[in-house]
Amino acid sequence: MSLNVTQLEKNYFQGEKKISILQDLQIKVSQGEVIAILGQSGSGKSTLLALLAGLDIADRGQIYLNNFPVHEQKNEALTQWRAKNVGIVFQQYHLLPHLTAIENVLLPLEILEVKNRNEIAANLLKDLGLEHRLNHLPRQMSGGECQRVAIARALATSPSLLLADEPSGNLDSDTGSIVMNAFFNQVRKTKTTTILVTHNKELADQCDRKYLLEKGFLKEI
Amino acid sequence: MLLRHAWKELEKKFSILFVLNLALGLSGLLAVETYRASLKSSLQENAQNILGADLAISARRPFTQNEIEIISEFQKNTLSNSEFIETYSMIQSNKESRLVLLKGIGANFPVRGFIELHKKGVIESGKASAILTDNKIWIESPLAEQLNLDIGSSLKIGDKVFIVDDFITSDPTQSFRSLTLSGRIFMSLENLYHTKLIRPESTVSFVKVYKIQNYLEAQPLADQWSQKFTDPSIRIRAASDAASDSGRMLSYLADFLGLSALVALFLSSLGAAYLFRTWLLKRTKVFAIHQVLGFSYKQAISIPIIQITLLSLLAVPLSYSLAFLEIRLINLLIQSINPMNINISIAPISILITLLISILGSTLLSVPFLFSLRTQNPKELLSNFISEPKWNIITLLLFIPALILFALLSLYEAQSYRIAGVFLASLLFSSAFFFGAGYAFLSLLKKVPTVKFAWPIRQAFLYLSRSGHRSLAAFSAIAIGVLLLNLLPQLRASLSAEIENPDQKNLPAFFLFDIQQDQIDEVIRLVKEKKSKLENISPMVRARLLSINDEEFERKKRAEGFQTREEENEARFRNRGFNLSYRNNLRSSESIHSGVEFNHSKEEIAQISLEQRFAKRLNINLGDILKFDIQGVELQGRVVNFRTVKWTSFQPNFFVLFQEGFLEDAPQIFLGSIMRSKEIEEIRFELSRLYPNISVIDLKSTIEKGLDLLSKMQWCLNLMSIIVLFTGFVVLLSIANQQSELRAWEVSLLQSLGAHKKQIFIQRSVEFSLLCFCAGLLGSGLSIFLSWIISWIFFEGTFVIAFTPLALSVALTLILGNLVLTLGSSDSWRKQPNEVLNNPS
Repeated sequence: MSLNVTQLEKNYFQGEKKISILQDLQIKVSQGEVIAILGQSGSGKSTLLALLAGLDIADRGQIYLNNFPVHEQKNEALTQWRAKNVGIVFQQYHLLPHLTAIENVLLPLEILEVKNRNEIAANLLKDLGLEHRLNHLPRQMSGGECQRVAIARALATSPSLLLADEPSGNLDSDTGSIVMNAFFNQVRKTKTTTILVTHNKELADQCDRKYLLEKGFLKEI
Repeated sequence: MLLRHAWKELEKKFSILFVLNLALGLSGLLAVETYRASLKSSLQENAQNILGADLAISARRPFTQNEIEIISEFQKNTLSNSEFIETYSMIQSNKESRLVLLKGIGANFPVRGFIELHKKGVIESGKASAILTDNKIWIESPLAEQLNLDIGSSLKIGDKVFIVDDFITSDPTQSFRSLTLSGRIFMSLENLYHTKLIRPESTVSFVKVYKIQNYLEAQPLADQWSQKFTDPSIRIRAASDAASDSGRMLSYLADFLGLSALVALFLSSLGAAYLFRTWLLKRTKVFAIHQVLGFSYKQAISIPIIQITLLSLLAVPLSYSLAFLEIRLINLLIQSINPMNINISIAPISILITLLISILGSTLLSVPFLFSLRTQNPKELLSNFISEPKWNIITLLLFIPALILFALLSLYEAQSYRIAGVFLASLLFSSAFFFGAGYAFLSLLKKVPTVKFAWPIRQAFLYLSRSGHRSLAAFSAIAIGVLLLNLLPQLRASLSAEIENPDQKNLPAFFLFDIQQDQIDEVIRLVKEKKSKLENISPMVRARLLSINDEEFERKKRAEGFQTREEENEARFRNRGFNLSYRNNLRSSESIHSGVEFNHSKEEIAQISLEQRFAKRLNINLGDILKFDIQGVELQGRVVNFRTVKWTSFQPNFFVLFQEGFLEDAPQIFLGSIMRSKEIEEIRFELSRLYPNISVIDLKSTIEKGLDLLSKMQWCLNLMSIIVLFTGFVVLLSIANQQSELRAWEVSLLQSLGAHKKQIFIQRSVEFSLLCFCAGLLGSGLSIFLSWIISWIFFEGTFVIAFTPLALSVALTLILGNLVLTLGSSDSWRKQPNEVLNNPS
């Protein structure tokens, strides 16, 4: 079992008014499985990813990744765990503007003090078709190229879990297809457990399973 | 609609920091401006008391018959008049001897103002001379104490014995007597003559004072009278002139306080500009959205302009409150220098000027940044990466109006083209230097092999070397701040060293002047008998300059309106008599600047040596022929050299030096100095007993008085330095805060990649420390260089490095840098990474 989430609950407060984002959420994802989460804007998809990545704290419920109780960890332990186990791809790329493509990919490897990091980073970028962009800064690259760098960065540490938050949301459809093909190739090749949040049904169809997040509840479709 | 948009869009933190920055910078200026205005109005209110009249005419010699006739003609238009004579003398009581200023007062004295006595109370105008009759004298309380005199004690002055009738407790004419060499004794005019101390060549002032119907007419009358007298040794002053003269020292202090306040304003402008620039970067998307929605470029930029205007308006009341506190402190410090009670009130015009500077300055500073957005189209502005606006020559030229405004302010504050010029040039040079040096520093960082560094340190180096304008702006702001913070202490160290004169061994104990020709040999003998030596004996001949190369040397007329300190000095300089001396050789305190030494041959025309600054001031060149009038006898001389004189040698030095063989027969007095020895007090006592007309100045106590005054003035400047320091701190805080805000998502991103907060803080701390340390070092280095240049210009080369403030400022910058980093980033540490990443600014 790779990921096991039970009774997950997250609420926000607007003044005294309680708004439930996630309610009694359950999900199990096996090793190497790629699942898609669909849902309308504001349905709580990004919140779910943040909770799974340990970037936010749930009000209730349990999250186990490879039997590690994520929900019980404090901030510092979560950071360490995340560095080793989770890769995240953001819709807005979030590349450091002063670092080149390869330096952006190297960063998580440097944090983990991985030895042959230059080779790993270069190979990943090559696999994603960016061998000619290694030393380019984000502002010198297109949106599609930036997102591929972000994917390489997320996969650099060979995480147990890859979380992707609408990775093609900022791209036009042609570029989006190129990026997502590269994305699926990589996750399949590395057999990385992946949760993909998307609006795009075609993309969702390429995943092993699809879920819909609606009114705080998650159901398989 | 635009106003509503502008108000709604204002961010709380940016607004607070911007207003605080501006208010701090403006408060110093407002405080100094208010102090200056209050000083001026207090002086004018007391002007008649200070002069003791509406109008006075004075001379360093008895008035000639012709002059008395002219004066009598004028006198017809006055309500009442009086006269007095002042001279210095040595007096002794028991075993104490002191230099005193004797004031012999005539009928009706004073025609304005009052004198307050210990027993008799306030003596109103016109009544003093009627009471001070027979052999009575009034003596200043501190002087009486020094000489152990009580009311009723007898005191021999010159050839006459007097009885102390009362003590003077308040004499308004002494409101600004901090550097006065001696205490005062009042007696009747007749009695002063009876002392037989008024000798032909003694330093005596003959003064006639007048009361007129309308006080406001005093100045025009003074100007009118001045034109009737060609001799510069005759001085006509209106009460307002006397007040300005009395307050000159405080006005100079106010000028320097004003410049210090400008330093704070410059720093705060730098901070405000930095805040505005980063804020503008953050809201480029809003700017683009406005344009996409149909706003014209003008409408889009008018929103930030309205916002800046609103914030500038808000800064004024805050600066008013801060200035109020600062003025209280300044006044408290200055009261130890000047006992006159200055009525402090913030004039509406000062507030209006502050308001104008605040709005105009901020708007002018924002224009280049707004213009730089014009070069980018909305699509670029809407892109994911906040790109630095492109700068071109036009954008840079748009800073010129703001610079002109600052230049005008500098001129107004310094009241001197020279000082304002040096101040501005230094600031501009420093800014350019720091940008250049900062660029070089960042380029150098790119070459540092960081591969083996721990990742937070490596990231710090990479960020600094690649973040371009952002790091450069912060680097320059910090370096300029450190430079400005260090400049005052560095200059102060040189100034103190110049005055304190480390060569104490060669410093004379006493300085003697007014030695009459028939006394000089006896004085030399007396000093020799006491196993000491009268040194640096210098004859002094009073003269007036008639012409330079046959062109008449004119008195400078009073200028209307704004007058710089240089113009004031020049007017004062030209309108006075000259003291000449003669000798063939240079002293140890002198050296030839240009030209040749006297050739010792006696030609028809005398050879003259001029002090080089004196020559420059009067626009005299080598080879020029100067014609002097020495008590009715004309004498010509050719300028053969310019001398550099070290005035702080405290030797008798002169602006104009003749070769020997021309002035020996002219009426003259002698000056000399005596070195410290065991018998020094005995020498003073004997001199005052035998030759009371000879003034003996105790150099040590005079220098001590000067240093004491300097240290009190330093406190005022220190206060301004603290305001500068505090402004610098707020600027640093603003920079750190803006940087943290701009990079909050970066912290969150690094956290999402698995970096610990501690590691991220180390990265930031290394960045900030590197930046602060290098900028601090460079700022300190340049402060040494600039203070060396300024010392070279103003103090003739005396230069001392004050290491403590240098070390303190670098250490403080480092500590403050990290402190403000912690304070400034506290917000972004508290937020959950998810919160920041989903809402990037």
